[in-house]
Amino acid sequence: MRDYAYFLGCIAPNRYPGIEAATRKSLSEFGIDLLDVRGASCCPAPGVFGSFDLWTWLVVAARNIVIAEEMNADITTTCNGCYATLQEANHLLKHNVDLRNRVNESLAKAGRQYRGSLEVKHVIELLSDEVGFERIEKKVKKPLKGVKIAVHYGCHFLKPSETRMHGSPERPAVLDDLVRALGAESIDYKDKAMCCGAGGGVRAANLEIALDMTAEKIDNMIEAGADCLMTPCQFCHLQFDRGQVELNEKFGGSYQLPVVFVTQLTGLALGMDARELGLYDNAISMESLLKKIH
Amino acid sequence: MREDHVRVCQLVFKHGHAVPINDEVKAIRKRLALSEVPPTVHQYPEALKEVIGILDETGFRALVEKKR
Repeated sequence: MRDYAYFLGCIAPNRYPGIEAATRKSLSEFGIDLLDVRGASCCPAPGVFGSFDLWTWLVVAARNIVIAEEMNADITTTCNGCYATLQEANHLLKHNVDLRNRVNESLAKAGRQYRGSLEVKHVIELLSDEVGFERIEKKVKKPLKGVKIAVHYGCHFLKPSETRMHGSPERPAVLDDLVRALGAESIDYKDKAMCCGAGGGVRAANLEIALDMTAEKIDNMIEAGADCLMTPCQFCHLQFDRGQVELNEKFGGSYQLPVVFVTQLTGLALGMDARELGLYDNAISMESLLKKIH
Repeated sequence: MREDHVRVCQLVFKHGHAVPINDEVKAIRKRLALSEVPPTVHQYPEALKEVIGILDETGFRALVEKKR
């Protein structure tokens, strides 16, 4: 197994460190060590930065990629937004020589150079391709039998599909397959491919619209009988977890659907302690889910 | 550019992160056996300086100020 440069982004290290801990612990079980990308910054966010100035977005993204290149390691990340930025920037720089030369002129001032030597992989790809679901299934100590999980893919992991290359962006299956490998049931629900509501700078600019989308998605999950929802993106995770608290406080809702990150759920099925996975640090209580598992 | 988005940009100008660390999360990180401060620009001031230099050089800071 290879080691990967773990690009943390902003949300996991600075708001949901349980995601970082769970990712490091879960992958370590399969012989994958996650290396620190020392001095990495915001990816930068594709919504705000990519929309306002593509050139700045590209140079900052290239700098983050170059730090991993200097470590001779491929990048992995637990954020769909960071994945979008780094994977797209890497794709652009590998395929456009003029752009690469211009970026390198800018990076040279800091003594850095983009070489195009690495791949950017979402942590889902590590679980599905590098480790493999059969191997995960064999290692499960505590099958999540009887647990109904609403899987949320998020937007940037799947689209644009010609660059991401994860199969159908409308009918993805990889996370549903992982849930089954962990012994749980992945449920169908209305508008499964819908956005969490946060992306594209919407959460920052118009929280009410973002929360309206979040509520619609969670309502659909609850209606389908979900015990929890599982995300592969730390920003979607924040939106669903804190978003439920905001919905309850601002609009008198009573949302209490537990939100669990893909590597946290994997860690639980591997028999890890919920506290060590940071599951008690979410805004929404995990008690109903944890009772069902134990 | 909306004021809300300007604020996000200003966080990156200052911290190198759109969502910077706080004391509450530092304590959680410590409890989870992670480094109290993540190994990002937060832990490496010279790296933060490098990122801020890029944001200035590309004209992004000036663009944000102009769009307010």
